[in-house]
Parts: sequence; C-alpha cells; structure tokens
Amino acid sequence: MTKKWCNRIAIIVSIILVVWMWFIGTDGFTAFTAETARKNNLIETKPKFPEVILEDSKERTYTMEAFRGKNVFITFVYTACTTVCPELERNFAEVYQSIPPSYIGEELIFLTISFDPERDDPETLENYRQYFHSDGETWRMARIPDQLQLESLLDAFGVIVIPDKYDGFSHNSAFYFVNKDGYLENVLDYTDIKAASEYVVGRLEREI
Amino acid sequence: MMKLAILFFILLLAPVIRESLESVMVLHMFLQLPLLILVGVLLHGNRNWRFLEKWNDNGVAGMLLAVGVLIFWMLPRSLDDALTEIELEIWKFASLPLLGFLWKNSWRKIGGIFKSFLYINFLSMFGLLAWLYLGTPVQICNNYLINEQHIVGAVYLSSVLVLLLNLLYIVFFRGLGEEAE
Repeated sequence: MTKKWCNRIAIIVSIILVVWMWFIGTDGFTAFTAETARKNNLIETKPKFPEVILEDSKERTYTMEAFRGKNVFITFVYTACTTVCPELERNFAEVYQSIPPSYIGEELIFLTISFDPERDDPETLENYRQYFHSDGETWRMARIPDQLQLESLLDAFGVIVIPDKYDGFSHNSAFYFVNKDGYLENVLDYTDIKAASEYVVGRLEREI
Repeated sequence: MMKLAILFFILLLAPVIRESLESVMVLHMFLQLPLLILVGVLLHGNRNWRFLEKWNDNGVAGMLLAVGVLIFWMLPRSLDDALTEIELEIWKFASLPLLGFLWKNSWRKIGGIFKSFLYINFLSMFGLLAWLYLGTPVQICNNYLINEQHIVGAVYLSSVLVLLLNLLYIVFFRGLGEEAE
C-alpha cells in the first residue's frame, strides 16, 4: 500500500519537475529557440543605438544623430551573401513600398547596415543599393568602418555573426525598429512583410 | 562500473574535450549528450538501488522524468543556451547523467505498452526534428552554422530509418515467427 502511494507521489513530482524545467527553459513556453528569446529580451530592454560612425554608399559619414527626430528601420546584411540577405532586402523593399510616401524620409528612414566593412566599401554598397532600387536617401546603405564600433552595435542589438569557411557569414536576420530618440523599440520577423508594415504604419500614425 | 562512470564524467568535463565536442553541433548533440547519458547508465550499473525500489517501483515516475529531460535537451534553444549560459551548462552535466541513471532503473520495470509508446513517440519526434533541421532555411541555433544544422537533420533522419527498420523487423519477422511457433 505505501509503495503504491510512494509511486504515485513520485509520478506527480516527476511531472511537476518536467513541466517546471520546460517552463524555465523556454521563458514560460514563449521562446523555443535562442533567437526568439533574444528578440523578446531586446524588446524588453530597448537598448540604445550606440554612437558609431556610419559610412554610406555616397561616402557620407555620420552617426545616428543625423536621424534624430526620425524613426529608423534597420536590417543587417553583407553584400556577398547569397542566401538570406537578398531575401531579407527584397522583403525590406516591399515594406518600403507599402509605407505611405508621405512618411518616407520625414518620419521614417530605411537603413541597411553591412557587417562586412572590408568588402562592402561605398562602391559595392552603391551597386547593391541600385540592385534593390533603394534611392540612397530615404533608404540608405552603410557600413561601419571601425571594427570595434561595429562589434559594439552588433552586441547591443544581439546580431550574431559567425564567419563560415566559404568566406561568408552565418547570421540571424530581422527588421529592427529604432525610435526617434535612438532606442531600439521592436524586432520584427523579416519573413512576415505584412505584419512588419502594419506595425510600422500603426506606430507612425500613433506618433502624429 | 562506477569507477568507469566517474572516469568518463571527468574526461567529458575536461576543458579540451568539452570545448572541442561543443564546437561542432553534431558532436555536441550526438556525442557529448549521449556520452553524458551513458555516464548515468554506467553509474547505475546492475545494482538494486533500495531507495528507487520504493519510489520508482513501477518505473513510471523515473521514466517520465528521464523523457522530460531528454525532450528538454532536444529543444534547439537548450543547446544554444548551454554554450552561452553557465547555469545551463551545469544543468546539462547534472541532468543528463541523471537521465541515464533513471532510464536504466526504469526501463526494466515499465510495461510493454509504455515501452511501445516511447518507441513510437521517439520515432515521430526524431522525424519531426529531422524535417525541421533539414527543411528550414533559417538558422535555428544562433551559435552554429546552417550547414551544421543540416548534418544534425541528416543524423536524425538516419536514426528514424534505423528505428523504423528495427520496428518492421520486430513486427514482421520476429513477431510473425513467434506466432508461427
């Protein structure tokens, strides 16, 4: 009789332990991959865009201060990438086209940042820009020439870039929404164009 | 047996071995994790653990906990976090030997239906993971490259095939043979 009860208690304890372990490990069943956990964490902590010097496809250099008073929508790529980045940028272009033109440049700047400053010089970025029909003004493409500054940005925004053996990189991808004060406000799924554009438009409408 | 288990455990803890196993996704998943489970199995040995005779008499509690731990380590996130968070790394080295220990203790005790359920469950789960790792274009683990993901997917797929062939063998060859006798 007691053995039977011991067994039952042990079963209940086991189940509780397992559910508790899964709960803790997935932040309450909300994040099953490290990437989701990273995004959730960023949205919660809202890090500031660090003071780094950008150099764009027109060889202009500036910091994020140049965009003060405007929201900035950002992606991270390297132009030699043949897999995820082109898809990311195509989707980025679609979001760009879906935003009412009156907002573009006034309330919102699109910015593609390369994390491969060695190869992505202004000339390369200029080609890349044309390929995606970005105007270079309201949708800029830039690199961060200083490696330390680049790393500080990637670190703050949780962009993980691992060099692979084919001279490329493995990296995570998303759309980043930085607000008028230079703080990261949201990280969006780059595969869901509709949701991203609805979020951005809704966000801009609320501000006006 | 016990000494062997402890020796194994210390070897796996050694920084050089630990880091080199963890640097490659497929080794991390299909060598380090199973070896840690093996440590638990060896630790258990053939002894009758009195404590568990009372608390794990029918093997269900032990098996539930063991399977729970195993599923936990199949979440893509757990593997990633073990590389970046020390708490999870410690938990890995504690929970997996425990898994092996409980598995060894419980497998003989549980009934045939539970065994069959586990078998089919792991067959489908490995299939799902194979499909996930092979099919997705996005990086599931932030700390590993996409092509490493594909290798892991391929290993999952091969284990599904082995499990499936074994199942077919049991049902159609051994099962029918026994019935004929």
